[in-house]
Amino acid sequence: MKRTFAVVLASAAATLAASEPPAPDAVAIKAMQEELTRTMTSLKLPGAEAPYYAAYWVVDVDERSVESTLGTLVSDEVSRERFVKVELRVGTRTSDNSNFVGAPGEGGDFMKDTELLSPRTAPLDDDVVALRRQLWLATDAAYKGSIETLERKRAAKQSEIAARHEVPSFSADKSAKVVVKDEPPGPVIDPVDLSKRVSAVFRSFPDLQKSSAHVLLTSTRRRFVASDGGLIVEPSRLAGLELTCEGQADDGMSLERSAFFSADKSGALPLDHAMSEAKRIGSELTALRRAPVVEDYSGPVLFEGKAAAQLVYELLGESLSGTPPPEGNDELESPLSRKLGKRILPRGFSVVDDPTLTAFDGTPLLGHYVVDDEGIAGKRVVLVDDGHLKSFLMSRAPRDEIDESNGHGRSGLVGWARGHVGNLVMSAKGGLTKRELRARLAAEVRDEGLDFGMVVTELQTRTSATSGEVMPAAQIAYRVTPDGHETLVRGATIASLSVRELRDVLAAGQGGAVYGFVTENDAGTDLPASIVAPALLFEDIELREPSTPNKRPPVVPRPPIEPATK
Amino acid sequence: MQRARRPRFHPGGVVLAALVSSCAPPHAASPDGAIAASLPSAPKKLDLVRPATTGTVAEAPLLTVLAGELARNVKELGKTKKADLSPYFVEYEATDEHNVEVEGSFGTLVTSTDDRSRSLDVDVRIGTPKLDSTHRLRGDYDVSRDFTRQAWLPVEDDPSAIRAVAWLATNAEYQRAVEDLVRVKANLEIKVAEQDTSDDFSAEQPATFHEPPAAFSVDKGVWESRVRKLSAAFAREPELTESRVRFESSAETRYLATSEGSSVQVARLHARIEITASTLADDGMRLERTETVDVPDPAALPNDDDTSRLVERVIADLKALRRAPLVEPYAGPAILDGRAAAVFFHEIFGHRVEGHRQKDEEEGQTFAHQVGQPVMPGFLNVFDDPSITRLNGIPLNGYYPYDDEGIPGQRTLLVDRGTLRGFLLSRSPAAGFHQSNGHGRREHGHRVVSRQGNLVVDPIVTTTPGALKEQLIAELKKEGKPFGLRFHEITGGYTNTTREGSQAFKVLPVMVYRIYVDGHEELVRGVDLEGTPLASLARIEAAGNDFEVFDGVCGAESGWVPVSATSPSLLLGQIEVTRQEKGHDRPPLLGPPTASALRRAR
Repeated sequence: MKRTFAVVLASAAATLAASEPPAPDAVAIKAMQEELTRTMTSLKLPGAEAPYYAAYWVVDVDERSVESTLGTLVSDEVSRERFVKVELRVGTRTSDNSNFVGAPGEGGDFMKDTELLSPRTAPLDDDVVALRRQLWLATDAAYKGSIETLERKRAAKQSEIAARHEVPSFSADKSAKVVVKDEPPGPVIDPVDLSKRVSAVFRSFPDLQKSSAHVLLTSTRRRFVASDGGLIVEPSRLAGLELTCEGQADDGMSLERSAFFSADKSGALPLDHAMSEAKRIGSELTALRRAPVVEDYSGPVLFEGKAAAQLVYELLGESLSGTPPPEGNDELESPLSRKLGKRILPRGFSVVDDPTLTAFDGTPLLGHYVVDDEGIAGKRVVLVDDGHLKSFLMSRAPRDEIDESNGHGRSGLVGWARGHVGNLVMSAKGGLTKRELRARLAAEVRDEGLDFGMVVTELQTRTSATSGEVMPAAQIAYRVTPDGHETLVRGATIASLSVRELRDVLAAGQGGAVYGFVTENDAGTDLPASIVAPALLFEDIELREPSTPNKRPPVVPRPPIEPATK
Repeated sequence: MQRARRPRFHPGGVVLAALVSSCAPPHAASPDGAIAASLPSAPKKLDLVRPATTGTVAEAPLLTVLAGELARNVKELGKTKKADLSPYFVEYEATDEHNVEVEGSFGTLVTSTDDRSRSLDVDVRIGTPKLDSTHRLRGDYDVSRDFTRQAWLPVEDDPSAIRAVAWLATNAEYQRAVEDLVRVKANLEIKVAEQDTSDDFSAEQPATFHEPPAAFSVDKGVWESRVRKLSAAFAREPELTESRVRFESSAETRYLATSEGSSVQVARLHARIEITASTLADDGMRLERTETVDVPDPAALPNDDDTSRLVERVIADLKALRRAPLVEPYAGPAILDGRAAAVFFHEIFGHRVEGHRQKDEEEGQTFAHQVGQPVMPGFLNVFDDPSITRLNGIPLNGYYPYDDEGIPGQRTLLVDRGTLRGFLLSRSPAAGFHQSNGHGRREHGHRVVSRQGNLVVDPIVTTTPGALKEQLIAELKKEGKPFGLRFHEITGGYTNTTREGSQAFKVLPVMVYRIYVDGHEELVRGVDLEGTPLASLARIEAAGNDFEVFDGVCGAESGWVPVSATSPSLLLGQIEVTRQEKGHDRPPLLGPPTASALRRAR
């Protein structure tokens, strides 16, 4: 979890004057301010425009990554890195060098893009001149690239037959002045001991082919300075444990189970919980090996727990981004782009995204941040109200109907920010209890004249998702007869689903389950996010056997696993 | 949350880019050496040191566990009794690595890492040594066949966990081998007969050799202050855009077991200092200078004074290069200084005598049918010898007692008095050579192919460097040319050995001088040295007695492997240089930020 006891000082009243940045940030801020001044007063190519806006980030990422298998250490990697990022805008707010096909990260010159899209590292020492040197070189490259892009953008516009409706390039928002306080130090986690002890749990599961326990401790400090006076310091921490195990059914079907959880409110990764999670997924995989393969099914499906949140992300997550597709590439247009004000969910459903939340019902949320990657304070935004689409996740790139950011511009360490999920929470008025939902499923099953319905509790996790049609695979699915008898099945793949199906959800549960995950954007930067969703009952969904052929199980039996040496 | 392991880069290495080829160039060797013989003879000194390693320590627990699991898998897989389903050979090779890397730039620390890992490569062969699952597939290039299904072992010696990883990796390679043998047989049926009908795997004696595992300890804090201090000199040079002082130390122990009973444990300790800086000339050309020092032990790295001198040399060279005139395309005589000549030989000759290229019909096969034929002037000998650790006191990067197939690294005579005598061979026989000579190498994660170790150009007739220059000037006068070229430093190069595209090589010189007829020299910039192998080798006219060593890492199908190349300076009757690729970026618009500029800003 991202333990954050952050104090948000987003209002103009609580500025830097009120709280000086801590010493480790002072050097970075001084370097950024000095170089920014030089950029805004002196950087100009003869015959070209000077930048009208510039923003700098200096981001420190300290990481410890420890992986063990069967109680023994596989790797223990410590890394300390510092990155600089430059955002430079040339032209005017109405039309600048951003959001254009051919701009870095959006197609065009591959080599140049690769260079511009690789995070720029900087010296680890707090040295003003050394940091300025990196900012200076990054700025110079960004400025030259910006001028080129702007010229191409203008040329492309001139050749358009009918001028498209002009949406400004850059919103009139002001970046924040925020110094987020450091969290008090949490309990000390010994990642080597933890990962070894948890991974040793898998020794008692003879059906597993492969297993691991991976502890990741990350500490990040983001500092931001912008030419509109923005100044931000935001530290954050993440302590997480990922457990995975793999195996094969006798018919060769590959099976995988994983579990991820982050530190609790106290900052600890409790061993007991970790051990029981390891036992759970080890047992699930063992049970799956013996479970029957799903038969082709068409009928009511209930998504419970994590599966509902995963499905919501697959169907809705990317589509709620309000950042217009780059000019010249309408293929990236969201299927929801023309639905503002229209009903996209059943009445009584609402969806909000709130990066200011740190936890939901005591479960930590990964998508928490104080300011986004454009220096705008993350705000709670109502996206769907009573089933109707009310807004989008906005970066500082305006769209037809919405001209300001709501603090969801996320990019990580490189590239232009785009509207992206933080903590997305779906809820439904009059949600049913678990028992009521199961009863409703049973009723549907009887109505359809079926022998059983399907319940899915976990989907195959994905690291990135595309909008439009998705075909997720169910990791855990049950056949449930109307009298409540459950049979675990394996291999269920969900046939084509699209955002439209959400309009016809039959019923929803109460509260919600949390799905925390990390997506990778185009530039390969990690963007942590969380989805909370209630259980969802669909009237008619098709489940099929997977179409990929199975690999033969090993001919040689697994070697015996002796009791742990220590 | 799982993250991919970061790739390791080996800057300053010698790069082979397998690109493209057409028809083989005409045979063009002139084995006379008349010019070499006409120059004043000067004695050469070539002292080769072979280590007194006996390899008789006890086998490490890891190797014992691996050998046991290997035997269990072979036994179980052999139960089918069907030749097409039962491996005839299995190898396990574990690579235990400990790497410390510390890097400074412009007086500040940029990187400081300390990593430990143990990887496992499994090789499974099904079929017979005559024809097995690794046989090449003609017209069906599959890049995945260059790689093993690499697995990561625990870094601790827990037998159960080690066995579990090895078992699963064996299964993956076994299933692939079964499928590959079917593909191989189908491929042979539908294509025309192969030209080279050599076996797929040679018969060799199993080896037993155990060195103590490699280990080192360095004080990272001390290195961090050293790279800060040493790289601070770059901060005083406003024209430089990038700079780096990098210390690396690595301990690598390879544990190798085979179903034939080989049990080999080989340790390698290595340390390196790399000093690099770059600048942008006013016309947008990026200029880079690198100095490296490779030693077999971090304790043997140069001290700060010696390292500072290298930093100063890099700075001085870059300053001179920025002001140096651009060279126009040129053809004429040239001198390659020792290290430049060594890289030249590594690229244009060494890669082309790698055994597996001789039987691959998609390769250029420049030398495949030239054994016993003259391929370069008669005063030249060339050999590759992985068993030497030092040459004239200089440590060699390409030393190893046993290769990645458990075969002793052996001195291999490649060229004797200008005549081709052999190839660099792994256990893949080629072109009439049936035994390995211990050149089967890989970086973990890759399949073994034949590679260079320590390549040495060893002329029979040598003269002084001064005599080479006089001869060059004499030729310039004869041809009426105002100047010739001297290549002092080459950063690396690449060569295409396949038939698709041209058989050309390109080396990337960084310090090139014009030698005028009056003997004075002038630094120039912006040239690449290009040519075709046979024509270039034929034009070697004479050699100096000033042996120099290029230590580096070489990348090819089987990954990055440490190598060295040694040569004295060489006189070439004709070379061709072409314009270097050049960026179009202006130098930065604003000057670099400096402490003094800051004061002015305030």
